[in-house]
Amino acid sequence: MNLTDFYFLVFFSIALIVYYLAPRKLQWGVILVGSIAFCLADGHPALALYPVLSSVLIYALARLMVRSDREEKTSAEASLTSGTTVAASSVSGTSGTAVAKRRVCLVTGIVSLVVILVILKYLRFAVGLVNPEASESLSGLLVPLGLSYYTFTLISYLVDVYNGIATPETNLLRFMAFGMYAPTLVSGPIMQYRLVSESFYAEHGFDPAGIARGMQRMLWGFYKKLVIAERLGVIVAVVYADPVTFSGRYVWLAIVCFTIQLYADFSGLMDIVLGISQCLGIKLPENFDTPFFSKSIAELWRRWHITLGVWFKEYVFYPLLRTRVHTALQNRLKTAFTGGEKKAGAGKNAASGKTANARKAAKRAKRISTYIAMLVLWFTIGLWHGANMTFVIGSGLLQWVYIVLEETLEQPFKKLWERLHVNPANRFLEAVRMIRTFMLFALSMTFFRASSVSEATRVLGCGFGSHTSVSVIRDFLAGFSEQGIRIMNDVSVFGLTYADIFIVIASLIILLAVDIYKNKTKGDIRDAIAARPVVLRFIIWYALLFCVILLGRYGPGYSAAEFIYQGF
Amino acid sequence: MTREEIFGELNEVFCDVFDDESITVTDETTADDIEDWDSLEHINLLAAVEQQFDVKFNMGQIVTLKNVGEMVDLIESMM
Repeated sequence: MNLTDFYFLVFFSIALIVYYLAPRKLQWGVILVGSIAFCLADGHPALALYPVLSSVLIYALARLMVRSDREEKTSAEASLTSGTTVAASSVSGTSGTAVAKRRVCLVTGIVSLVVILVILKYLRFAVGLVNPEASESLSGLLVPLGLSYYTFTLISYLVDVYNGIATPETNLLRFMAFGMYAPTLVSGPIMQYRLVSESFYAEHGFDPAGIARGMQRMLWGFYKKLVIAERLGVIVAVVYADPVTFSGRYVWLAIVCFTIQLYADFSGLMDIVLGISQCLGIKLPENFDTPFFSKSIAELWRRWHITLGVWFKEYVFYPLLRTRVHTALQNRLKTAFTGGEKKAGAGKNAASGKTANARKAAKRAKRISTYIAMLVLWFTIGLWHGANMTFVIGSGLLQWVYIVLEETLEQPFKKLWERLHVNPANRFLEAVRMIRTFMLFALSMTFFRASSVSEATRVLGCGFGSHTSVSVIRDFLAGFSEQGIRIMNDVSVFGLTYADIFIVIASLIILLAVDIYKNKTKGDIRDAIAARPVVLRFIIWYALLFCVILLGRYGPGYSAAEFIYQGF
Repeated sequence: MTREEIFGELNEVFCDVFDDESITVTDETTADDIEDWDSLEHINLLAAVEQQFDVKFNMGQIVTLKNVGEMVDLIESMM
C-alpha cells in the first residue's frame, strides 16, 4: 500500500474516525492495529513478523536493563539498612555486574537488529562482490517494509535507555505501537523515543483545527509528489536512458531535475507522514529544512534527511570519536606532527613558540583523525541508502570528499577574501556558495540515480559532450506558430507534453516561493495563510486540492509510483 | 571548586578549543552563540573539558547537554 494510494486514504479516514472514537487511553491501540494491518496489506503477510519480533526483542532487553538496575539498587539499599559494612571492592563488584549485564543487553539488541538488516539488505551485495553467480541464489529474500527505518528507531531507543536518557516503556503493546508506527515505516522520519514518546502517548482530544492543519500539510505533500516529482521523473528517465543523444546542457538539466525530483518526492512524502501524524495529534521530528538554501555541503546535510544525520551523529559518529582506537590514532598523529613541527621551528628556541607548535600539532592531529572517522561515517551512510556502490559513492564517499575539501579550503579562502578586501558574507558570494553547494550535491546524486557506477560516469561524461540537435526552445517557439496551441498536447523530446512542461515550471515556481518564505521567516506558511481572510484561505486550499486531483500524475489504478526513499 | 572557578577554567577551555580569546561563556551560552561550535567541535570540546576537570561524560550526557550552565552543573556533580 502506498501513502498516495486511494485505498490508503480510505484506510486512513476510517482509522482516524476510530482513533477519535476510541477511549483516549487506548488511542495507541488503534495505531498498533492500524500499523499491523498496514504491514499485512503491504506485501507478504509473514513479513509483518519482522517489525513485531524486533520490537518485542528490544522491549524485553530494555526491561532487562531496568531490572538489573533495580536489583543492584535494592541490594545496595539492603546492605545499607542492615548496617553491614560493605567493602568498596564488593560494591564496585556489584555495580560492575550490573554494568556488564546492561552492556550484554545493549550488544545483544544492536547485534541482532544489525544482523537481520545485513542479511536481508546487504548479504546479496556482499556475496555479489566476491561471487556474482552465488548472489543470484539470494535474490529471493523478501525485505519487510521500513526495515532500515524501524531498525534505527529501535536501536536509538535501546541505546538511550542504556545511557539513561530515555525512560523505558512498561507495556509491550504500547511499545510496539511506537516501534512499528506505520506512517514512518515507508521512509521515516527516524524517531527517537525520548523526544517523540510524550506526544505519541498523550491523550489526544478531537481537535478539528489540528486535523485541518494535518490535512493541509498532506495536501502540500501530494502536490510535491504527484504534480512535481512525478513529472520531473519522466524527464530524468528519458535523458538518463539515452544521455548520448541529449548531451551537454540537457544532461545537466536532467541531473538538476533529478535532484529537485528527489527533494520534491522525499520531502513531499515527509509532509504526508508529518501531516498524518498531526491529524492524530502526534508531533514527529522534521526531516527537511529548505536544504537547497545551504551554503555548504556540511550545512546541507544538517537540513536534508535531518533525522538520519542526527541518528548517525549520536549513535555512530560520537561513539566512534570516543573509542580507544580513535584516541590512540589521534595521539600517534600528534606525536608525528609534533616531531615535524619541532624540526620546522628548530631555529626559534622560544618556549612560547614551542607551546604554540604543540597546540598546532594537536589541532592538526584532531582534524586528521576526525576526517578518518568521518570516512567511516560517510561510508556507512552511503551503504545505509542501499546495497550498491552507486549509493556508497553518491550519498557517502563523495559527500565526505566535499566536506573535507570545504574544511581544508575554509582558511585559505578566508585569507584570500581578506587580502582582496572582500566581505566574505556579501550577497553575491553567498548566492555563489548556494549554487555551488546545490550543483555539487546534484553531481553526487547522479550516482544515486544511476543503476551502476559506470552508468553514472557515462551520464556525467555526456554532460561534458557537445550539444546535439535537441532544441527545446525551437520546439517551444513552434508552439506559437501556425499550429498554435495544438502543439501543447504534443509530446516533447523529454517525454512530457509541452503543457506538462509548463505545469512543472509553474509548480516549481510555487515550490520555490514557499521554500523562500520558509527559509526567510523560519515560519510555517500555513500560519500565514490562516491569517488571511476566509475567502482567500478557501481559494488557496481548494486550488491546491484541485491541482492535485486534476494535475497529479497517477499511475495505473490511480496509484502513484513508489517513493524513491521507500525500500531503503 | 566553586561554580565561579569552574566557569573560569571552562572559559579558558572554550577559548583554547575555538581559538578565540574573546569568548565569555555564561549559563545560557549555547552552540548557537559560538560560530565554530558545531557537531564536529562538540566532541572535541567535551574531550578538552573532561581532560581539564578530570571527569568523564557518558554518551547520554553528551547528546543531551543544552547549554553551558548544564555543563557546569554536570561538572559540579562529578567533582
